[in-house]
Amino acid sequence: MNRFIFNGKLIPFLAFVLWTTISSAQQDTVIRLEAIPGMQYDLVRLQVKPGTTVTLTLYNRDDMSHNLVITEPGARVKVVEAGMSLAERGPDMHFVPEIPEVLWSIPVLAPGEEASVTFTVPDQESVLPFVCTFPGHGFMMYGAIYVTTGDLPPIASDENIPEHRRSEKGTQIDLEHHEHLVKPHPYPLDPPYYYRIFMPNASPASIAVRLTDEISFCWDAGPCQLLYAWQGGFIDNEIAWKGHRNTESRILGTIFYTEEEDNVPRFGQRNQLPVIDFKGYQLRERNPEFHYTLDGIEVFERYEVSDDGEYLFRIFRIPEAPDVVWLPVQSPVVSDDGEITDGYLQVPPEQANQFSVKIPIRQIK
Amino acid sequence: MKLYLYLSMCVMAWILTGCSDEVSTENTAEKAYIVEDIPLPDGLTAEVGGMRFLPNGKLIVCFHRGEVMTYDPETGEWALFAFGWHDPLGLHVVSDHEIIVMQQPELTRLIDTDGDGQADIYETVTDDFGLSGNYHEFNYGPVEDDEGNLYFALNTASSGGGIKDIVRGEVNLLGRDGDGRRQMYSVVPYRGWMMKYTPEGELIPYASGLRSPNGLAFDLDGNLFAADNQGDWVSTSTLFHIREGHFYGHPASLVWEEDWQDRNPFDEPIDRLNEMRTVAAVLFPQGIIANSPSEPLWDHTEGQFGPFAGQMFIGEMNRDRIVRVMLEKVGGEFQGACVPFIDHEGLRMGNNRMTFGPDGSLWVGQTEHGWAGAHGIQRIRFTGKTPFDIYSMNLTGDGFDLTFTEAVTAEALDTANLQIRHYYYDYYKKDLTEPVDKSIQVDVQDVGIERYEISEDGKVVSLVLDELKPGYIYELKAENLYSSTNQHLVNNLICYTLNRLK
Repeated sequence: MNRFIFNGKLIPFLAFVLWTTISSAQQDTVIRLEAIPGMQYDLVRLQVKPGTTVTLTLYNRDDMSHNLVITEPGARVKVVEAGMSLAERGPDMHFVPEIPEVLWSIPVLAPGEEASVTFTVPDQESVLPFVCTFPGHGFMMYGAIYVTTGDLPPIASDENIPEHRRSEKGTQIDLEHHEHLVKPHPYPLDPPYYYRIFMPNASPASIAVRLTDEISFCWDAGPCQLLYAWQGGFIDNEIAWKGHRNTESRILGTIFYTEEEDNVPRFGQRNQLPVIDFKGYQLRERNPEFHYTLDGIEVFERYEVSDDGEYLFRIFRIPEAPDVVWLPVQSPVVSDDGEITDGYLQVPPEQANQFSVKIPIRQIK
Repeated sequence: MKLYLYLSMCVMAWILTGCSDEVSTENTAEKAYIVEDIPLPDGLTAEVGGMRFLPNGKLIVCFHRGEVMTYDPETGEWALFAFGWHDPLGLHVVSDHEIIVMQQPELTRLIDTDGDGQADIYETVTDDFGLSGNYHEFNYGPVEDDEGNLYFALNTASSGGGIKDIVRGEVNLLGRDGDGRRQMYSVVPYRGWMMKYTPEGELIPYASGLRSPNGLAFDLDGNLFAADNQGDWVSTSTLFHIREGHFYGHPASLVWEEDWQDRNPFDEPIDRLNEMRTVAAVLFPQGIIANSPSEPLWDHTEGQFGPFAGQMFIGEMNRDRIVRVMLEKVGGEFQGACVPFIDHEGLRMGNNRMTFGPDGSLWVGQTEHGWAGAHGIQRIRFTGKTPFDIYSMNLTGDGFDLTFTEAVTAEALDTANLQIRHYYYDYYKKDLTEPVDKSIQVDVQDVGIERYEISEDGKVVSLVLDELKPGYIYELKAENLYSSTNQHLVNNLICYTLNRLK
């Protein structure tokens, strides 16, 4: 048993058809169903012929408990509500109400458990809902058994299954274009804007900034420095926003620059890493200017793309630099504001109130 | 601060007008409480992490995807105050222009310096706590005491997920059980703790032993409470009275005790842990009262919200329910009872955050976040009609006093069906083969009612029971009970956590 299987994507849920050959009057079929993360069954449409004897097995792959109740046609909501109304009797009864609309059931299964139920479906064509009646689950976690030899209704308009499952494509979303298809916020996504969110190769306190329609970067509020910058789309937060599982947002572009570690400015002595403290940021037309202290000295840092689109500027303000500022820079980074020697930009304290370095934006075709 | 005025965000000036959803129009004549939907702006995924009212009467709400928005109940207009937050799960109002938000990486103050309705300064209040990158390291709060200290709670990491390659804070792998795949864990400071942040800027680990404390609040007398969610070591969800230096039962956090040394708290003998822990003031029986209780809220409306002034309400995620809690001190410690307050009245599930409006209505924000729940904001209004409810359940020397909001008669009690059971929930380390979310009632027994008396005004029924055992929940069900005004007792299942006898 391994209850820690986390599927990155859902099993495609095309209509699932299972019946035995029609060689005898007695028809048996075996169906295996799984409860999976996201408050759902892996299959939501099952099709069997009228009169079939079905052995339905439920395996709980999720990390919450689930049951399965098959109801009379059209009785799903009533059964769910009756399950919720069991009050103190609920746990003992596995949240399966004793009402005639309940046809068959599988009791509450803990994660990793499996159980089966065997039943014979009616001889008449019908649609039998199945649903999890564990408190709170029944309005999301359900599907239907189609007792029919005919075609199933179009999935897109099938009200017997949850709304988010009414698509042949399921969750196979075109991630590159997804942010343009669904409006993710009640405000327009015109750059600059940003998210505090988990990012790849970053501490858990990172910030992803969409600077222009082309250029984005990740700044880390842990070490207080730029981590990397990329060209193309921004980030996909879909998995993070669903919640309930570990994730990092996916970069929808190509990284053109990665900063070295421990690259904050230093004062006086260039080899000594200062004590770093993240103080926050202020917005300038939605563009954050980061604020942190290095050995107690206030530093402000913001980003801009040059008008010709050739460079990403890192712009620093250190109003009270106590000494010469040494900023580690690496090729191909250049600066118009001081001399770069041995991998350091050297800025006199009186000029530290405004200086910048330029990161070439490699055009990627 | 004037320096920053010119930096204010001018692009964010979208006033978002409420739309579509019609407010409930059902007949109000019969009901004590009416549930109404609050219209939401287009494009908002309304998973509510924090919700309060500003002094100016506007609601301010933070949402899972990072928006902080205000809503004007007068005009129905929504406006964006800030965006980009990392899973903000609580907010504290300082003024109309300043709030403090608890997000995953930091406690942050945001200030609208130029009064244009949008925050421009985002100031770190504290980030002096660990982050492993585990998705479940949610942070809750902050709430403020009379001296200006802020309190917030740090969730343990989920056994369902690992940690990032780069973490914040010292890593101590003794804070998890084995490979961390069974019990919630604490491998960075101070996961599983309640934290106190002083006005002088010091962050103090305040109390330990929490698992998933999604909701904290002060009562009207300045006592701090937190609700914890059922799971490993927490056999059923709890309400804890939080005090400095106390340990509340989930061992992971102990690894950050100052003198803990190099021991794995999961290996600590259960008897020792049991001795150390402070038990819950109230237990919410799993699958019966609540599966995931959320933010407590004391009724400070002095009657504007009905007859329960001074009592506590708490949301429930898995049902269309809000639970009411009544506390009393017995032997110097809080204990008390919980009962459904509103059930099947048009409320959605996922009731995560609550706050009272200036008019005494109760605002409820919902979330689901991959668990059972829903999206949206609803408002519950008291119509002025007194509901027939159990006002309170108080321990006596030999049973309980049930006080009702309306009188009952001896005849009504005779025809009603009163049943009492007791049971308890074990405190133990789950075996590796035992599922995390299994919740078992132990020693479930019917308890006989020896006799009862009704007070002269008919409002207090004193029950004398065959036995009273400390350490048990006493669950009372009163079916088919009608008041003298012929109202049916709808919320008829109440559970008293009997820690101490009188």
